Amino acid sequence: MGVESEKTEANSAKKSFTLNVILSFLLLVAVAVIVVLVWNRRPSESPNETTITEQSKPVEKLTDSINIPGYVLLTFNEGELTQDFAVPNPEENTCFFKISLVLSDGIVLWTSDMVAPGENSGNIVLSKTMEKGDYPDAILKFECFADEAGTQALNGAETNLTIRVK
Amino acid sequence: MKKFLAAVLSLCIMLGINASAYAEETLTLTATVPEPTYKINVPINTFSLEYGNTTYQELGTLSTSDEDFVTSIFIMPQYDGYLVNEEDANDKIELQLYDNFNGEYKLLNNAGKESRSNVRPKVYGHDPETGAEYHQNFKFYALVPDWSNASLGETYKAVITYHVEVTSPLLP
Repeated sequence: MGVESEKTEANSAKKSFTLNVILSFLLLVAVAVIVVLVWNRRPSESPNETTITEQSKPVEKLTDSINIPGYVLLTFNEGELTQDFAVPNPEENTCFFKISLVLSDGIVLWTSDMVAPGENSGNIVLSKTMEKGDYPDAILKFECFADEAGTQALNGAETNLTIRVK
Repeated sequence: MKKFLAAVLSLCIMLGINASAYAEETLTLTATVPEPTYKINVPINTFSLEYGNTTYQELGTLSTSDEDFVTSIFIMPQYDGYLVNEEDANDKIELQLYDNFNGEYKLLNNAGKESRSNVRPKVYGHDPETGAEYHQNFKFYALVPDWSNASLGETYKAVITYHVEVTSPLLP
């Protein structure tokens, strides 16, 4: 009886020890995962550092002129409103852009929000889907403003291009 | 033992929260910004003209750069023919724009189709014989023929839109 009792206690102690080892292992794994997650979070701050580095590069600002990007051919997908194409406002500019895409018959396909220097319009979202084909003599129109509210108009440009829908 | 288990479970719950937080942070939106086929540079602004001056006054220069798959570029200024009082849109002064080629001023007539200039300066092209590319910066000038209608102390403004036409081997 005494021997059996000793055996039972020994088994119980063994089980408790095993459980402790497993739980300790789980705890270590959990701590390790947290450390990894916290460590991985640090690189997410590095883009800001990169941005700061990029911003610290001297960009020669144009105080008396505007750089406007021109395109000869835009390729769109048939039947889709959102096209994977964004129009930039070059970083060297000091003015804001309001950009429109207009077909040769005057139909406005898209108008952007106000685009700050160094930013882009985001993907073009058309006002209507287009069928396959070439649409020559479309116009990408750049209205330029000194302020984000668009109250002080500056000179602008409109560039002709062809839209190819595939 | 229970406290120990509770600690482990708490850690697991924290991990779950952290994981979902990181999942939210990784949400990004993308937009493709292709390189332009060419760039044009235009004067930024409304311009300052000397009051009473009825001679040609230089406004600025148009130029192009970074042309890729472009044969030629033409630029036509569009303007409505008036300087307009910033405070009163009905108060206008006649404005004329000119280009100057080989010392000769030529009126950029704003009365043409869609108010585009009749003059179509070629600012980028290729020599037909050698094929070498060339840039022709385009300077233009303003002329106010009559200042007598201008109100003293007021600011007048005109906005010019540069219409750009391009020929390219990419186009049909």
